[in-house]
Amino acid sequence: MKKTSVFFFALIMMGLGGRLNAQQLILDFESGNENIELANCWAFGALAYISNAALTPNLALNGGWAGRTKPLTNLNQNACWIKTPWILPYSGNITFIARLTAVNGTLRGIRLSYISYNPNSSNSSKENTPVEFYSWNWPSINLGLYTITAPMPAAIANSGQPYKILVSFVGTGGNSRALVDDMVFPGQYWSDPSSNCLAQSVIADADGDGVGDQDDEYPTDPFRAFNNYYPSSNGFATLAFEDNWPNKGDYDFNDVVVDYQLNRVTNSQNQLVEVLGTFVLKASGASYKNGFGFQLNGIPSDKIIGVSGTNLGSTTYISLMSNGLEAAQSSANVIVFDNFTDIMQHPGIGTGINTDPTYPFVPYQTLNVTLTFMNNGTPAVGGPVLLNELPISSFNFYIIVNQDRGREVHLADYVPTNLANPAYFNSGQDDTQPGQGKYYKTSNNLPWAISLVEGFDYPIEKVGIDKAYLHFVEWASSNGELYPNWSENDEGYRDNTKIFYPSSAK
Amino acid sequence: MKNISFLFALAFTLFMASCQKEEVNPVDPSKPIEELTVSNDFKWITSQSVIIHVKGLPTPVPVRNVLVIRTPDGSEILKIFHEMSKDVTLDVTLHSVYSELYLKYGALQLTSPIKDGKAEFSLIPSKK
Repeated sequence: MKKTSVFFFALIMMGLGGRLNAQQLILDFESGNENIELANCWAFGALAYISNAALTPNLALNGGWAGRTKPLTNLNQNACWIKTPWILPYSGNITFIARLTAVNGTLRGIRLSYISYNPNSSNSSKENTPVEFYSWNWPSINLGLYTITAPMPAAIANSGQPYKILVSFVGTGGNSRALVDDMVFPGQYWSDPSSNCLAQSVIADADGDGVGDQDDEYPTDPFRAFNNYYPSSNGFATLAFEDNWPNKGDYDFNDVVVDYQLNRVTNSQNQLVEVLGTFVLKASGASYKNGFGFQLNGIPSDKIIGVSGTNLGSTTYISLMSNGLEAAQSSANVIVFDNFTDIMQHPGIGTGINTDPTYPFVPYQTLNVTLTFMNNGTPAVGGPVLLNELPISSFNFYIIVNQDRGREVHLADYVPTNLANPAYFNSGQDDTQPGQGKYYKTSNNLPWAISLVEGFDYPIEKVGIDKAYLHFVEWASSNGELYPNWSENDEGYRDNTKIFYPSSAK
Repeated sequence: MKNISFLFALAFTLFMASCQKEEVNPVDPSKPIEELTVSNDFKWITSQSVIIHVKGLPTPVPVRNVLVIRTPDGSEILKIFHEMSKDVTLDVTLHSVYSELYLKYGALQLTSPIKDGKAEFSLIPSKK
């Protein structure tokens, strides 16, 4: 099994009070924000950052910031201290500069200890007891600047094991403090700030893609790492359309009803590998032969290698490119099906399919559509697409009414595709105003399609959605503020006699 | 004295007025859908898009781990492999009933309210 570490090393990262080069860990306090160093696994006891500007000029150390202890009136090494992150110590000298803040006190000193790592410790820090290896006292109580130099102990240098260095400031009498700056520790940073600052561990990564097996949803596939489901891994959203556009419909929103779930599969570079779409055809309360598809807004067709799983019958009103996407479109368009009734057969009675409970129920049909963006790590000719470039909001769903390719019906304010027939806009009751970003809405902003992230039990034939869902009007009129959960089956929310349920159909 | 009382009453009235929550216009639920006039920016969807800003933590070495965005019901809606020192902007879609989001990065777990379609996270702790 191949193993790798979650860490990659750089020579120098700037902008930190604590830094590292290939051989040294440095604390110069110049971030001015100890929270940054704390998050990077430094620890401080009774010591705070102080701006040199806040000190009298004769006390200032290098740069803009230093560390300052509380008054040193304790010989306990756990009273005032700085503790490094876990490091792999190298041989060489630990160095830093220090001075006192006032000429008072009996004794002032510095003690250095190392702390070994015990992964089996019940202590959450996994630290063993400190072992002192260096002791230094101020020769007299004065304001002079001292450079402290202490060799890394041979017992831990180049051992390949993680250690922390504890720098303690001790003293008795008076109230003078210590200032400290420019601390250098020979060694390699070995803490993990994203994992409670424990020492780095070598993680199992069977496919070598950098994502540990425990986090990798495809642990043996180097070309896939994560699933990104919408609306969730076990849930479906619903699209419900009226197909009489550009004329008003009857607002039963059952002319085409499709449940769907999307999974944007990505690799360890957060690039899209594929989009897996599951589309469940539920109802068609229509006499039209309607198609259904979606545009990936802003994603050119050459970014996709291929499409599979669609259902395009013998009709010829859809023209495809070799990769399965629709031709003559500036953004990628996937036609999921071109005729609903090719997939779900009409029951032989009534107008539609699964919209009248007095007629036989037609089992739902599922289409599993795959859009391939990368094949064994190789993107399409147009290059890779990052997950961030294809948010859920860029999936622009629409129906094609009665095999008239130019007659698309989209969700409110979603743009038409290149193949929409502009002659339909502003006819009937449509009040599309491209300059205002208004599409597929009437003059009073009513839509021809709705989308429900939580799924949807649609109304029966010819019953307006406002009659089936008793808080729908309040939801819409309040711009979604009131009853955002209007579709739930709570007491007083539905008139169940006006909603199609498969169990109540014949 | 009267002037002081008047000023106090005026200040109290203004204070109370400022505390009143802006109310949504009352709606007649019996109004048929055909007669509704709704806001120009209403989208007729039950979801919301949220832009998430994650502020990175400057680190002495590049640290990469899995960043997960979760909804309050525990659903994972976005997952990326992320370098801790980098800022990142993410775009997620979730049910409009949710008013907060959760971020998990390694062992770090953060919560952010959703406000005006945005959520903010910082990998730099705000308190010592």
